[in-house]
Parts: sequence; structure tokens; C-alpha cells
Amino acid sequence: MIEVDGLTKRYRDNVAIEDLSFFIEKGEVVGFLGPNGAGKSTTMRILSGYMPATAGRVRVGGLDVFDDPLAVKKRIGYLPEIPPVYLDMTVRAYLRFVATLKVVPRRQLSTEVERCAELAGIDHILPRLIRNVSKGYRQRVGLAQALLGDPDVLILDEPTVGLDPLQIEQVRQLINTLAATQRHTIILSTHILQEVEATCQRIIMVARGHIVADDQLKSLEQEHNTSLQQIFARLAMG
Amino acid sequence: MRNTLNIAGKELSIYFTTTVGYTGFGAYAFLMGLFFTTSLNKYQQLTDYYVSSRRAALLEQLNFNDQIITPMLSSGLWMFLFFIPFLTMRQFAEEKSGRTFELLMTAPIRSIELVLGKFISVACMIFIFTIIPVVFPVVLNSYGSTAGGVSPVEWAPVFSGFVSIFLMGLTCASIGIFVSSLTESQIVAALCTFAILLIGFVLPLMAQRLEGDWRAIVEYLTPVGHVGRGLQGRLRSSDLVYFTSVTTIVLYFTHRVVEAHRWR
Repeated sequence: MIEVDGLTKRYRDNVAIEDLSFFIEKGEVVGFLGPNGAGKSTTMRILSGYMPATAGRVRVGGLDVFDDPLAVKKRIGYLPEIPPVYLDMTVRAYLRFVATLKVVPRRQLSTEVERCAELAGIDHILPRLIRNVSKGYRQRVGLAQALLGDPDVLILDEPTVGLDPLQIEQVRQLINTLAATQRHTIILSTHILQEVEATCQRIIMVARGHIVADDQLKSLEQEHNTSLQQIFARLAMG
Repeated sequence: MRNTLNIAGKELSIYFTTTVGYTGFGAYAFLMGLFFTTSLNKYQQLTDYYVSSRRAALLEQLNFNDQIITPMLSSGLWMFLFFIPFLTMRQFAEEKSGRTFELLMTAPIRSIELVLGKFISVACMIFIFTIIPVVFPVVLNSYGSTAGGVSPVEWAPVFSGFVSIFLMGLTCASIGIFVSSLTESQIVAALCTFAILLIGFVLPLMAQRLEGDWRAIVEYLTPVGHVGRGLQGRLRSSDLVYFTSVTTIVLYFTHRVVEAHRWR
């Protein structure tokens, strides 16, 4: 579903990521794990078509992100690191706006907004102004926004940041529910190890812009014969 | 098209959920009211003076269009200098600082749809600003009277005045949107737009001392030079061409700036 080949991004002299290559099957849930500043967000932003890569190719569902951006973007739901919400809109108006952008047919707008709001657990705050809801709710509005239009690929950049423990659990459950349907390919970036253990089958670990490990969670733990935490510490430190 | 209208609708809904729209319209209506009553008072004084000094020929030349409506509209024009930067400053700058730009750039829309949507929303606001002072000629028309029973307000020049003000508003708005696309800070966007528009407003005044070609060039390049004829009821096609072409070119530059984000 997602093919990344030789992806490199440089900002002037600063190398954010270098020569990343991986392949993700349809229906997989992949944890993109790494310490802060490892290049996770940069990779997510390139995958979602927000910024171009310096070199390399990204293909989603067989289509190139750079050559065919509109077709690819229709298939991706993207939650950036900071939820992209308009503070001066109500939750409902905001979700309707995004649903229209995501080419949801006019007649299904209301039902689609209700569906995603319910999945993200924000159906009771739909009439409120986003300015007036808490950070955790804004994060979940961002999540609901990514689910609109039922995209094949979900790219979630640190989806549980700013949530309380109960909300974190709900979001993880939501990801597991989505994963169980096998219809969505999900990439989520995080530096929280428990998150990966709770939701992902496969891990891509990045450090200093390079992939340092790419394997199933179980085999990674077997191979190193230790917990994820120690593997993370060892690989991230280099 | 659907995307363009969706973006425009979103922008308009933000203008009206916040107080930006209401304060803007309120302040503008109040100021225009001031200009109107000032012109009206002057008109009355002039009439009294001519009547008392028995200058019938001069008295006959007095009319609502030249003495009240045109001065009021040209004062109102200066208000655009202050209002337009506030309308346009948030367009792109707020999207970038609020990180919603990331949403727009990862949504399946074209840059041109984004730019046009934003332009249409500002155009709607300017349209409302333009038609607010229409109430004053209507008031004049219903309370004024003339000897021959003809309408006291001549509507054709009024119409031409409002059209040229609206077009000039669009041109200034496109400049504001362009500046907003260059920065992340709304304050910088507002200040730069204000500075550019101020130069455009003041240059023709300075050019009045000049002679010949330079004066013609300055008057051709600045929007104010084109709006004057329209206010006097002489809206020319060359002015229409000027407004539409400047607006289109500036919007095209905005489109290039937005598009550049996809390649950097």
C-alpha cells in the first residue's frame, strides 16, 4: 500500500532524514518509533504530501505522491503533530468543512460527520466552539478530521499527545478497532513505547534520520531477547 | 468549484463567528454617516449663502451628486486603506501560524482553488462594505425635492461610483491577500499591506505637482488614479481593464507563492 524508496530530506545543510526505504502492506498497523528529532514528523509530512522530499519516491496505492498528489490525498487521512483546527469554528462546522474538502458527497455530510465524531468520542461537543474545548478534545477533533471520508491510509503523527490516560486508552482502542477491520493501513508516529506495544504489529525505528530497525514487534523482542525499552535505548543511542 | 466555495464559506463563517465582520461594518457605517452629515451640512450652508446673496445661477448648479455623494464616497475610499489590511491579514498568515495550512495543503484541493476561495470571501466582505453607504443616496432621494419633479439624485453616476469603489476594493484586497501569503505574522501582513496601500493612495497626491509623463505614469499605476473618474460618473473601460488586470496578476502571484510551498 505504501512504498517508500530512498527518501531523503535536507533543510539547507541539515539532514532530517536520509535514504529511508520501507514497504507497508494494506491493513498493517505500523509504529514509527524514534526519539524526538529523529525525523518522524518530517517523514509523515512527506508521506501526506505536505512537503516534497529532496530525493526519493513515495507511492501510495500505486500512485506517486509528487506526480499525482490529488488522487493520493483523497486516500489519506492525516493528523499532523499539532491538530489543524480553526479555533473560531464550531466542531461541527469544522468537520463539515473538512468532509467537503475530502470530497464526501453533500448528502452524506451530516452522517459522515456524526460517524467520525462518534468514533473519536466527541459527538457530545459538536456544537461547541473549538476555541472553548480542552487540548485533549482538540486533539480528538483532529483525529475525527483524519477519519472523515473513510480513507484507506491513516497517517497519525503522535495521536495521543496531550490526552489524559483515559483518553489515551480510548484512542488506542479506536486504532485497534480500525485495525481489526483490515481496511485501513495505519502509520502512527510516537516516542511512547507503550503506545507501540498496545497498537502496532510492526515497528519501524528511526534515529538521527536513519532506519535502525524494521521488524514485527514480537520478532524484534525475541531477537534481542529483551524488552522494547532496552532495544529502543540501545538503537536510539547508536 | 465546490472546493473554492467551501473555502470561501469557511472564511466568511469565521468573519461572522468572530467580531471582525460586525465591528468592521459598524465602524464603517458610523464613519460614513459622519462624512454624509458633514457633506450635507456644507451643502446646506452653501445653499443658504447663495440664497441670501441672490446668486441664482450658482444655486442652480448645486446638486446632491456633486456636493454630497461624491465627497462622501471619496472620503469613504480612504477608509478602505484602514479596513482592507484588517480583512486580509489573517487569510494566509493565520493558516500558517495556526498550523491549519498543513490541513489545506494535504487536502485534495488545488492551490488556485484555495487562493480563489479566499479572494471570494474577501470580495463578499468588500461588497457589503460597498453597499452600506447606498443608504445615504436613498435617504437623499426620498427627502430631497427638485423644482421640475425629476429625481433629486442622479442614479447613473452614483452607480458608477459604487462600482469603481468595489473594484478598487478588490484590487486592494488582492494585494492584502498576497502580502498575507508571504508571512506567518498577521501583524506584519497588516502593516505591510497598509504601507503598500498608503503609497498607492498618497502617490497621486504627490504627483499633482509633477508635470507630463511622470504624472501620467503615477496616475496610471495607482488604483486611486482610476477610481476618481468613476466617482464623478465617468467610469471608463480602461479603468475596468486596469482593476481586473492588476487583481488577476496579484492573485496569480499569490497562487505562485502558495504553490511554492509544495516544492520547497
